[in-house]
Amino acid sequence: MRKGWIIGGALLLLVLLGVLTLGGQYNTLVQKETAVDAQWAQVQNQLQRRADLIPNLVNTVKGYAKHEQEVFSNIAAARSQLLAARGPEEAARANQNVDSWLGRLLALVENYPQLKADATFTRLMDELAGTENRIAVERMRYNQSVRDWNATIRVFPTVILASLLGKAPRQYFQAQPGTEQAPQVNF
Amino acid sequence: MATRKRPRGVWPCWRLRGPLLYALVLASLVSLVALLSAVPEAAAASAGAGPVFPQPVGYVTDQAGVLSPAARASLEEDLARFEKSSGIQLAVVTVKSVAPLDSKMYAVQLFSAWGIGKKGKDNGVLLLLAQQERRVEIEVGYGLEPVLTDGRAGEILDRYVVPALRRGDYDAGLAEGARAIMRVLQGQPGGAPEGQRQASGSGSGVAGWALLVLFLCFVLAIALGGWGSSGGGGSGSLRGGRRPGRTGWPGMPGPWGGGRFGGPGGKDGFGGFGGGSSGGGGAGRGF
Repeated sequence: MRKGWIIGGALLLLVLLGVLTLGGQYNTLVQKETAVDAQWAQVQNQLQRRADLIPNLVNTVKGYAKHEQEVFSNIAAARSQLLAARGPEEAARANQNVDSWLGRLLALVENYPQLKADATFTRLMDELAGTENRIAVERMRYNQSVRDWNATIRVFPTVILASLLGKAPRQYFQAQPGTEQAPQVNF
Repeated sequence: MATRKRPRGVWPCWRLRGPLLYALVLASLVSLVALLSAVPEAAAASAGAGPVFPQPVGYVTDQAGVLSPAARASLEEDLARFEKSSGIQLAVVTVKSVAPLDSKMYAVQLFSAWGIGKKGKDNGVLLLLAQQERRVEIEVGYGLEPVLTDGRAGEILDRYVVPALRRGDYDAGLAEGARAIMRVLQGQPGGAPEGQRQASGSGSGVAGWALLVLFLCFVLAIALGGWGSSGGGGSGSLRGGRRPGRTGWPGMPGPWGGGRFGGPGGKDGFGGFGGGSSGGGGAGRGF
């Protein structure tokens, strides 16, 4: 009988140890998932900020270049796409679309030297460039946290707990190759 | 059953069946591997290492050697006084080259490697000059973004910095730029609260039984006298999660912050940077 107690006790200890490590892994999972969510919120902040800047920029440019309606309406369409985007991949694609139309707008600005000298325009361009830098930074940090998360839920032993809890890999903030150029022409 | 015929004294534990066996196998496997699990985490953390950055020698770190000693000293003094009065850390840095990064990314990464500004307040600013690339960047900590906006940063560069740099007058360009930044930030005690950053809540869709397990662990940890002794993955993840100065995990040693780069004893002012962080705000110009 005593032997049975000893073995039983040893078993219980092992189980306790297992439960303890599971608890630690659970904390790891929660922390890393929170990090991904927080970083995604940062990316969204900056995308929102960019979207907020666009109407100001367009209005300023309109003051000098009235006859470029096509670019203006396309930028507006790209902007609302960006605002409506759900999930990292869609947002990344919409953001790229905005990129390409903003590029056209800025190429167009080259034809209006007075506009380039406008103080408001210079300030807006700084804000826009700063926002693009911020997007680049937050996107890099988001992708890092996603890489970390995706690795964590795939390696042993966290993979056991992760699959029990139904934790799935997250999407990177990047457009699928091949979908970059989706020029939407709305009139 | 064969087991019945065995003597009672020798309990055939290898004949265990059912959930108990699974629990045993799982528990021993998990506890064995838990020790190893810290290794890939550490490897993943170091994988993101960027270029080698210079060590800060003060508020002014003139690696490119473009400042005169007198200008450097007086700027250093101003910046020390500025931190004393406002709590804001403004670092002026010159480097020969930012390759292989572009100057903005270099500024972002240098900012986070040094941790300019106070942790939590993120009230730091970096004025960076890249000599070979002929670029100058202002990188603004999260906490100061509402005050030193991108537009204002660009204006400072246009008005005070770039004209002097074009003349080749690095002393005037950097000193005037730093002073203009200080004027904008003056009267901002410690920087604004972090309006931009919102931490989202932790995962809410957690199964009840998982919480139960967590609670059990907690009770057991206390009963067994110390969570740390289990070597669980929890503390390992804190070490592995090397996101310099941003998340503010309690107990996480800020990789570069906390006065680790404190200047030599008697030096007035510079006590090392404090773990602040930035996210690409500010402006940049070529000259």
